[in-house]
Amino acid sequence: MTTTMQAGQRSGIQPSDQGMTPQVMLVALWQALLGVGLVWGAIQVWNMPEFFNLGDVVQRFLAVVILLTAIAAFASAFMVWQLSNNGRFIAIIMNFSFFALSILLLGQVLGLYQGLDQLSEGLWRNAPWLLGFPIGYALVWVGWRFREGESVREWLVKAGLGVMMVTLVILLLLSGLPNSIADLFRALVQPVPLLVLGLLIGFFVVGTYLSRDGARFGETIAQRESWQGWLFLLPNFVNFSLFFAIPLLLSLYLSFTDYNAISRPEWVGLDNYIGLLQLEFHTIPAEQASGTVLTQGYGEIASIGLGANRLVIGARDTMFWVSLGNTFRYCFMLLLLGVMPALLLALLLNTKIPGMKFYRAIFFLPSIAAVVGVALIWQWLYDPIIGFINYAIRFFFPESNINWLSDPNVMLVAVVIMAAWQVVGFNAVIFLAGLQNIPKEVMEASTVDGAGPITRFFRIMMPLIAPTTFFVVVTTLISGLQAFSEMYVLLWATSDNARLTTVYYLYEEGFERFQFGNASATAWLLFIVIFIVTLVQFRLSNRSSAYQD
Amino acid sequence: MNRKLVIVALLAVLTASLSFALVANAQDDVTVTWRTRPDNQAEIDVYTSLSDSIDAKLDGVTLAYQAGGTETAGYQATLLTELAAGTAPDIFWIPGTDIATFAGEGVIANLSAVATADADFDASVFYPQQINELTYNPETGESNVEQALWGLPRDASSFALYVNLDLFEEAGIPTPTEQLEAGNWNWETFTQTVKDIGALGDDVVGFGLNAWWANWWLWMNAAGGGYFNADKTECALNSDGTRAALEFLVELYGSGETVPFGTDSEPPFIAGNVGMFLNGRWATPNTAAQATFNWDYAEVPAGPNGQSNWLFWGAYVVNASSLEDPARAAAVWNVLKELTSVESQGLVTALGANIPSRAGEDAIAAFFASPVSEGKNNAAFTNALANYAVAEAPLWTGNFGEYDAVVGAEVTKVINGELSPADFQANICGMVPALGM
Repeated sequence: MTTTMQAGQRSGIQPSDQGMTPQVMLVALWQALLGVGLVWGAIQVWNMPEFFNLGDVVQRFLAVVILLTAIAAFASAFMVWQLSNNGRFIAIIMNFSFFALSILLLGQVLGLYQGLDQLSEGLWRNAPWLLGFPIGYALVWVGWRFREGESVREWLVKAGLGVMMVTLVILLLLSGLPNSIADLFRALVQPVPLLVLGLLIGFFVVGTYLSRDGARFGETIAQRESWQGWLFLLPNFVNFSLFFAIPLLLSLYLSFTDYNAISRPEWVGLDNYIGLLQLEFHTIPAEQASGTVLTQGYGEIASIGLGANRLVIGARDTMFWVSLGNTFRYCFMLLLLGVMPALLLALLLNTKIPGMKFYRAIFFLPSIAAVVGVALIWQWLYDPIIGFINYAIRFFFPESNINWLSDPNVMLVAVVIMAAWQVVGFNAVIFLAGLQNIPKEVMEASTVDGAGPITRFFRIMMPLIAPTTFFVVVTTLISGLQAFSEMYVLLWATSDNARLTTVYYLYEEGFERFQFGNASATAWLLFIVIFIVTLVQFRLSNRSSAYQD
Repeated sequence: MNRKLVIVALLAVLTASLSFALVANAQDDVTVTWRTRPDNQAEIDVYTSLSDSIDAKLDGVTLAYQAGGTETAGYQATLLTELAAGTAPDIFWIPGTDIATFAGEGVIANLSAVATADADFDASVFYPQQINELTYNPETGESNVEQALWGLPRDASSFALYVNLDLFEEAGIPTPTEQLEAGNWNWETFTQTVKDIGALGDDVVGFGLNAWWANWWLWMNAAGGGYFNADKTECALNSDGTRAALEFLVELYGSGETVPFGTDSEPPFIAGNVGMFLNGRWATPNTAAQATFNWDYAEVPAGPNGQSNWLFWGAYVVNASSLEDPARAAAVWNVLKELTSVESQGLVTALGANIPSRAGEDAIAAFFASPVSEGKNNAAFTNALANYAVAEAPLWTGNFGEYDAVVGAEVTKVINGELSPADFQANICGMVPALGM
């Protein structure tokens, strides 16, 4: 109640300010106009001859979404007119959402985003001047060490701020600020940017007014907290929608089209999925070539001996199946080398010996290194002619030479070794946290009861760190199913299909062969695989979670 | 003083000021944006200065060079995204194999009309193999500039053997160039040379290449094989020539005296452990900068079907939307011509990574005069370009990427010993995607 009262006092509106006012009428009118504008926008989108090369479905879908938003705007206009708090709530969310979108749109129409590269170039050219900021901040920081009221404090803070301001001005002048300001105004004084700016201001004013006028609509504290919560979520929601949810939906749509990024997608239904999954089975004499029976465009992915005959399994998209098999093999090996050694390492790191914090940091280091950099180093280590690993092997076994990055039977192992080296430290730290959460009393009691180290490990520790193990296994497995960068850097030189994981295949299909429809379908099939695998793990985990209950 | 207030004020000023600074410069001139894929900062610098000099030369045109691609987004991915969004530059470089896809989708302009209207333009100054591909009209199946012009070639590169002369001296065997001059440089002597160099030690091998299509196609051509029939409407990978080339490569790699197939051959070559390294001209800057041994170029040995080579190239093409406005179209065409002029190509090829796409003596002279060319057998490249290099061709009858993905995997299996050349010959044409107009 106190909060409401204070808010009411701050906004100058008292509970007695009930009833219709010109402001409320204007807001209702604004919402109605917004609805009209949205209807007009929906019609425009619906009738556009070309919509960013994305095809009719996206165009129609977007038009419908705009139309639904228009209906919400009309509804809120009517409800605001009726002084309904729900109508006000819809209008607040709507106005602040459009305010956020208008900022993004204004940046676009003013060409702000295209200037990012130029800005980074300008800053790079004048990089030495950037030193002014830490110097200025250092002066301010030193000033703040003095007591409030002391003149030296004031002087240092002002000097520091001055240094930063001068630095900023110099940097921006060197980057051509006067020209840029002139360009900004030139760009702004155009019908479209002015319209966007006007709308932006309108959304902000209406949203702000409504948010401060709760008393007129009979708002309760719970309702206020509700819309304020939603408002806090709004920036993240806009970000999530624009850069995650909408692309995700778009990729789902594209998976049903023949999209190649440069032409209008045509709806092909399930063709991409069928193309990826379609198999053929033929029984032929053992010595007969599979090419004689497989349909044009099909390749053999497996052959099973049946006495004098063999069963040939052919796939329309051989590479997809091979990549899927490789991905599972990779995951299996990664789990073996990335989880179990991590547990052993965690047990070692859990002991009290001098310098253990140093070792924990050392083992954790690989996990924070960039995959590409790490892979480049391993590429040198693995080189069959000049690599250190083969030098070492040849030292002990002069006739041996392992082709780490080109032998189809070895290359995946090479990648797993590198990936496991990188992930073990991270997993060990997670396990370590789990181990340190085990109550000492339980361990002591088991020791008193006569349990040896092995019994304690399997009967006490393992069950108690089951949730940690589950987390480590799931995250390692998902990272394995999504493996790409490691192969992309380490195995770029070979064309052998043994290099392909599903994501690598997806990348090549999209960005090298322009088959974005097929690549999207692959991504969704991979999503289904990851979902099923994770679901199974959840079920298994629940079954073995007796100690958690 | 309130700290929070100070910080907020500073952030506000910074944000506002940077926003101003971010705004792109508006110009009264026609602004033409162009992009090519550089390999390193030195190339970016050269292309930037080239852009500035053309900008100064052309009245009424402001030229903006974009290096293209970032550390997190490759050149191709960035370009495709921009094409989809309608924000691609006016002129951009694409590999020769992509011409058909881009032209087929209508995203690059057919410059035939503007080229034929320009009396100063002469397509014959470029290597005929490239111009033949760039003027191909898929509807008539003919190649001439009156029907089509999909762009102008940025550069050209044939393949040559980068030879570690020190290893040859150590082995006491004649160099490839000496054997060529003696009329004895063929697959047989090449194989023997590889074995002789490989015999120098466990960590020395005779030969290496990087496994992508040009590197096996080149040998297929030399044996009379290849990917396609003459009009590229049928698979020709089941030919005896292709099989002969694969059998040769299987024997070569089976000797164990090569960098394993599918391993990057450049690092061991630069380290001085490889006798001969097959690559295009683009390997020159790195070799010149890092090799600590005596090295030179040599021509690729002749196969059963005679001498052959590969002409790898890319072209500057024009965004189709850039031709919609006549004033802009004229500006873009002038820039395109300048980007492929003798002076421009001389500037770029001086870096060593490129060979001019102009076949004329002036361009070749500029190329030979560059510091990185000095004292080297550059004729290994130019002879091939002028006489027997087969140009990499766009595939108008199918998706080259899809086709090559299948072929590459199968060729790798053959050379790694997982599949016999005979089985390859029997099955491959059934596995590749069907071709057809």
